[in-house]
Amino acid sequence: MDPISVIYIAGRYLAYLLILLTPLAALAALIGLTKDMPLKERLHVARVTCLVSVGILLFFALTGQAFFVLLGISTPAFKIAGGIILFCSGMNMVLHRDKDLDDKPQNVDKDIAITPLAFPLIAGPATITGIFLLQSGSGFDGQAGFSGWFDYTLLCATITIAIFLIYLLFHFSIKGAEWLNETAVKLSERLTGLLLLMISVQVVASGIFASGLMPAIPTP
Amino acid sequence: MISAFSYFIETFATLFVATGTLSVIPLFISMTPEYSAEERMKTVRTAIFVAVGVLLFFVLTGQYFFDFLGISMDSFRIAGGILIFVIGFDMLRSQDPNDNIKKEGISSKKAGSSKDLAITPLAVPMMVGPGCISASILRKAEAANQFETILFFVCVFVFFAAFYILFHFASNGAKWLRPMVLRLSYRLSGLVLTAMAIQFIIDGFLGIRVSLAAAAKLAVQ
Repeated sequence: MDPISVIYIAGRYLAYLLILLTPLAALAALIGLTKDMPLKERLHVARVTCLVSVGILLFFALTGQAFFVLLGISTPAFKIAGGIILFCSGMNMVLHRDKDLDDKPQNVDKDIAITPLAFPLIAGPATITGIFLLQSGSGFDGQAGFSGWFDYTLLCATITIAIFLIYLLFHFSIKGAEWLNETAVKLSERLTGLLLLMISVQVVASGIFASGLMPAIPTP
Repeated sequence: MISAFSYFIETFATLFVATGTLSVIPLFISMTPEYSAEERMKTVRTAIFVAVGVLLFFVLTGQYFFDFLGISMDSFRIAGGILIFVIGFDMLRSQDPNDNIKKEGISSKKAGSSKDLAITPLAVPMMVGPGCISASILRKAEAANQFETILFFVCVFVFFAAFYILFHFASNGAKWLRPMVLRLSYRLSGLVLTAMAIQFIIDGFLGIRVSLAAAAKLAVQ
């Protein structure tokens, strides 16, 4: 493989992951939940959150393929199911119907690093689904296959880079950036939600046509 | 000079038709029966800023951005269609617009009111939808020289400024509408929105079948 296409694929993975992980929404939650903590403890929470999320995501990235082989699920079937799951989570982002956070009692423990921050906010079902989907082809359109140690290494490396970027974002925002206002969070949530909707429609459509449920119109 | 002038006029007309100016304004006003004129204009201001930003982003990155994420204009159509359908369906089914106001009143005491139409659906996909983006990309490609390319961007700004002014007049005029009329138009625009949404989905679905067949053909070869 030539380096250009490796960089291109890695860039795609990174773009997908950053859309799925919704860094700004996670950041808003982190800032909100750790409001009353001293600075040192907040940084600690950020660190633990990122470590746990990267652990969860890498675990699923490495075991994902095995699940499907064991359970006998075909790629198109998972594309359709996963696409619908992603669509729902995109819909929640666009319409802001995710009441999970709003209704949570404000229990300020150290525990928040693992739940709810790492799971389900950062490494939630949608992100895990997305990682499974990435393994059914380079990119969600599934034009190239995913196999061999090289693709695994690339995917794991991109996951680590994405979480590292998020960690940097957390770190510098906690250390006192006041640029994070509600409008910025809302804007990023809405627009990434919209992108997620488009991506998931594409996934479902390619799953439907790949499954043979519906023949595609042949081009003249 | 004359060709540049006609380019400007044509671009303006394209934007006028593609954003559906005349349908977006009454739809927005009837979607927000409980808003005061100031609240409407505040929402519209945010929406126009976002719409200009999104449109410029897509015009400048063109097809590359879509290709990079492996999505197509057709999946945008379907996604936008489903989104609009859900919103229109909610408008048809909700008991009374005034109920919504009460509910929103309670929840808006928490951080951020949940009824916020500015970014979605007003800016994207109602103002700047797939049709508007693809028409704009085409118009920019048709610019004959550098001057016309600059003119294109000027036209985008002029158009949205005009859009804003139109909105301003419309939302001031809406003060005179009776609650009965507003309630009726709320339901009616719910119906219009769901029908529009299904049309979006049909168009997108027909398109996506063709493009995926082409992709499958490439893979076989």
